Amino acid sequence: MTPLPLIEEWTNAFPPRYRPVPTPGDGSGRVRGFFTDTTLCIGCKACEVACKQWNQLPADGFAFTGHSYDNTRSLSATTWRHVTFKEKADGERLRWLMMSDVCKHCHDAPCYQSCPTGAILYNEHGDVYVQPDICNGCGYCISACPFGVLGRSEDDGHAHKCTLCYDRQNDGLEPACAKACPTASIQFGPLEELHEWARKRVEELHARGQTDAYLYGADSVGDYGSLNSFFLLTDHPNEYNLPEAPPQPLRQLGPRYAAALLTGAALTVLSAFLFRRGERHGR
Amino acid sequence: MAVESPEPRTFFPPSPLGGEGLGVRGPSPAEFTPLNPSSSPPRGEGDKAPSYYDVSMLKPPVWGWEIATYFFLGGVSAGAYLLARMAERFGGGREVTRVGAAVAVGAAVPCAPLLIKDLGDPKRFHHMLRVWKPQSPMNLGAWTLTAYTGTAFLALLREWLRGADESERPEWGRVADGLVVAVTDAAGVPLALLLAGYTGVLLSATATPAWAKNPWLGPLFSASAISTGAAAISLALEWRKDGRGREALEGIDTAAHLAEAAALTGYLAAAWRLAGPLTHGSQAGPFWGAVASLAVSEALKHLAPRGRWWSMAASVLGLAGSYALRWAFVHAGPPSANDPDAARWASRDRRSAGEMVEFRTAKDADHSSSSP
Repeated sequence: MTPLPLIEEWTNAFPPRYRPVPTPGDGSGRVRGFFTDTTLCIGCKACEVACKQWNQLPADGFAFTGHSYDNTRSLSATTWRHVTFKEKADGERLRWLMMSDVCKHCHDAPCYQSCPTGAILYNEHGDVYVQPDICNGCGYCISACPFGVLGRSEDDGHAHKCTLCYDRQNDGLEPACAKACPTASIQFGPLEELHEWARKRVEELHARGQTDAYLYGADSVGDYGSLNSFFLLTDHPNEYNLPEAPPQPLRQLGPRYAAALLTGAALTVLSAFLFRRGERHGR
Repeated sequence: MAVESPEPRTFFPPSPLGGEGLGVRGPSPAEFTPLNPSSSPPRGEGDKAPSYYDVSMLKPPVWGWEIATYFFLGGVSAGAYLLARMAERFGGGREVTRVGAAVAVGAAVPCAPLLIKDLGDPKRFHHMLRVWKPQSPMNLGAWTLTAYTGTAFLALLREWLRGADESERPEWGRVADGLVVAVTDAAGVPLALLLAGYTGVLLSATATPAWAKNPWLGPLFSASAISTGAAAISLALEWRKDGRGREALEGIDTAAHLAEAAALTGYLAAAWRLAGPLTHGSQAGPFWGAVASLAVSEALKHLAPRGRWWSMAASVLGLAGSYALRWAFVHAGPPSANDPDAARWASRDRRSAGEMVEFRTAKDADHSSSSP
């Protein structure tokens, strides 16, 4: 390798000024996010394709999973939108549960907290963003995420995930997936407006007899507050491969550190005692 | 839309509060009318646990043998360092201090290269130190390892420079020595304690079911570090046919093994069925091998006739057992995260205080997660 890219690496790693967490939002205090209404999803995968095209993500190869019309399987470093496609026998009937899955852009995100390089940050739109020029591929975020969103690319060894179309948001455009969705199943906008709209939608569905409709991630779910990507579901979250109560494993580390350090300290003190006793006995 | 099912939502058991409880024990889907539409509990499919084609919702950890080896060597180094410092302060013999300082450096040297090799982009290893971010256990660990390696080298340098006869030392030499000791004790000892234990905390700070939020991993790795440090020093002393301080080291090793056994029991009780990959999954070999190896090591120390070779065998078994234990814990991550049942169980809603009815028993070695 020529020295120049290495020098570039080093100067990238140490920017003149490091700002840990910018205030979320665009200054108006409004954070934008996704509302994915699965009752409108037709499983066309236009969002997957639009995401791949706009973000220039490589293909994942041709795989046959046997999981109905889902041959993508899961989110990954090169798949930032994934349409789950569940065929479910419900008594005599067959139901299709389709949902376009995406990074939840959590507040208090475990990937952000775990990232040892500071590559993952909250950008000026309030979204969780992986800086591709900083990530060194340690893989901690991959294990920290309870939704299995992040993956490590085989090509460059870095972690990648949905950026909530950072570049498009900068230009005042909605993300490619929301733009491409033909049924408005994926909606993008300020979260308060989306929440209001989503609650109305649930009430409407209930009034029409679909009483199993509910929102996932609009209110607190598991260890999290509301998620910046929330969903309208009509069945158990596990049917869509979402965790029932996602854990935030990096919360309450204090007691765990204390237990580890106290164990070590107690044994160290005991060793001092044993050494002293041994010396006194001349052994 | 809703289809009649004879049983009310079977994947949540009756509420411990009785009656309608928290409202999560629900009516049958047909009469299901949530009070709050946006937080209403969902329903399952008859008696089958809901799932998505048995695809796990988690991604497997990417850490391999490098990390397992680093966890072991970092523990040996930190343990030997702590014991060397205690031996100097409280009198375990000069040789324990010297050998301990050498073991601490010898085990610490391969750590950074192993960690760098495991990165997806190794030439960016220095990005670990571009921020100070202690809320990330890995960032804290990177800083700890860096600073600790410095103090370990300093301690070894001091041992190397110290002459046999300290009474001939000039005044400035004693002042300099005092300063160095202040650094190796006041800074080095807390750093070594952190290095010994943070690795367990790091594993517990992941969503991987076998590790997630388990409070016993830190104490387990801390105790294991002390025992391996004692075993490594003991082995080196025996090799050099120097018995002084060895009895204290054996006592420390035994105490650390007892703490390790307690932490391991706590881990298994807390993880319960999520410990499947360790207890009867793909890592059962290393795991039970480690337990047996540590037990035999203790038995040799206390039951075998006293002799140099028996003692060395006990130390080697202690070290091998601890390495196998780290190996099993690190390699239990991928099968655990890939197990859809374990992933669902680890992220179940505990407010319902219950169990999903259908939690399958072992399907195969790598997907086993039924209760041990």
